[in-house]
Amino acid sequence: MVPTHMTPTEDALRLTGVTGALSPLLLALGLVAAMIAVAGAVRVVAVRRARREARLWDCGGGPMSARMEYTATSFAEPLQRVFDDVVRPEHDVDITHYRESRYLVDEVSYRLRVPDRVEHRLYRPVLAGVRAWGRAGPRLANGSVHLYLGYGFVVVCGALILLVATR
Amino acid sequence: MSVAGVISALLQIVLVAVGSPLLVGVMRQIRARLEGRAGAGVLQPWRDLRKLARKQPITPRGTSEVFRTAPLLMLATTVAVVAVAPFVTIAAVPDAGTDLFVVVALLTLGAAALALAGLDTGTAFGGMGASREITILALVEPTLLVAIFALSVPVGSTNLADIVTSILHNPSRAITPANLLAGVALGLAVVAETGRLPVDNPSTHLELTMVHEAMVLEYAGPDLALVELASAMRLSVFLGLWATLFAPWGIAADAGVGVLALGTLVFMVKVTALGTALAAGEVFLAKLRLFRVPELLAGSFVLALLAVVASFFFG
Repeated sequence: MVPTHMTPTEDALRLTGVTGALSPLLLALGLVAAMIAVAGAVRVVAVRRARREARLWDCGGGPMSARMEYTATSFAEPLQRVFDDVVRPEHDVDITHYRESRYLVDEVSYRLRVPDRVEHRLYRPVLAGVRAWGRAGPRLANGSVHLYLGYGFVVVCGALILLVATR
Repeated sequence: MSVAGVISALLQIVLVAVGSPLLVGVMRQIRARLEGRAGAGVLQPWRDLRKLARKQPITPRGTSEVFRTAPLLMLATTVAVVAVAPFVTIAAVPDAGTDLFVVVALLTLGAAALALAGLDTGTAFGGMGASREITILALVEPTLLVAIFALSVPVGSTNLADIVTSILHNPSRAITPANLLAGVALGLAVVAETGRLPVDNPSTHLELTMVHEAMVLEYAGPDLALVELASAMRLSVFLGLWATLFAPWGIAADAGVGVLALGTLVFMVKVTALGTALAAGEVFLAKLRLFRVPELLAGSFVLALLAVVASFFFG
């Protein structure tokens, strides 16, 4: 479905060329109405007792300290592992042992970085090319009228040769 | 929206709300019988819901409003989809139409709300379940959308009612290569979205393999009842959508009493048959390792892409 033109009518976005309409306002209203209806039904059906606070259960383990909770990195880890070949994350695990024994671990540091592959593979080469072209510019246009006349001559000759060759 | 539309929408909501736990009961019973167990009976999910609804609501310390509204939002999105989808009768579809992309977006919103609730608890299992659920969702959504695109290309519309009537008026469209490929792709996507084997085991409470169950660990009492009811309804909705898209025969064209009764019966038969097939198939399957799931979903995505190509080449 390629929405070439979107014509807004009063309450709905209509896509010309294909039938199908979407009304965000009606959708939101419907959703709120459904939530109110469900909440009302729960009040009627369920036992009306005051909410009680309780300890987080977490299979008997909870509640945890902030250091043990999920971070953005850990949350995205499965997805990142799925797209391993594309994003190519870089892991680093450094283990420092105690001087006395190799069996005792003093510190483990884990680092994970996802370098921006688009930046490296696409933007960097393009930017480098543009920069090289920019450096070449002053050498090509150094203010010499003779050089500019030469350019004009070469271009006219080239155009004439091209015209002869393509006739 | 006409009176007939409102009546049909209410009928569909009541039918799915009452029938979904029964469907889950039937599926569990079939599985139990095939595995040589007696089973708890078809009514057991309803008994569980009644028991949970009578308990005192509990707020775990450290959770916010996100945790408390997620079950409501999940159920509300499902109810909204049931109200406008042509499950029993096309009369339930409002004049503006029921866009398939909106249906998928609503169902995904419900899943995302539950994932946020799992993350909101801040526990290890909540976070793990949410993380896995979002990973699977992110892989399933492209398949769903591309398969829907393949279905809508020959019809020229993403309106559910248009797709259904087009197949009803032109039955040979049901067996076009595009439709069959999209059917298989959507079937796999439905299995993944509803958390059935081999993607997620709905009956497991083995900590490290849970996806859906891990997210809802902190829910108790009426909140848990809402989550369970919403998951059961989502299962019915996905099976119903699949049946509506690929076997739309028996869907009533208007809202007369006779055709509504027939439409209800046919819908129940279709969804129960699909549920039975799913439950029977699950007996022979083991859960896939989490990092093998993407391969399965990539396969279904390829099928969906082939369906789009086929829909352009073979009409």
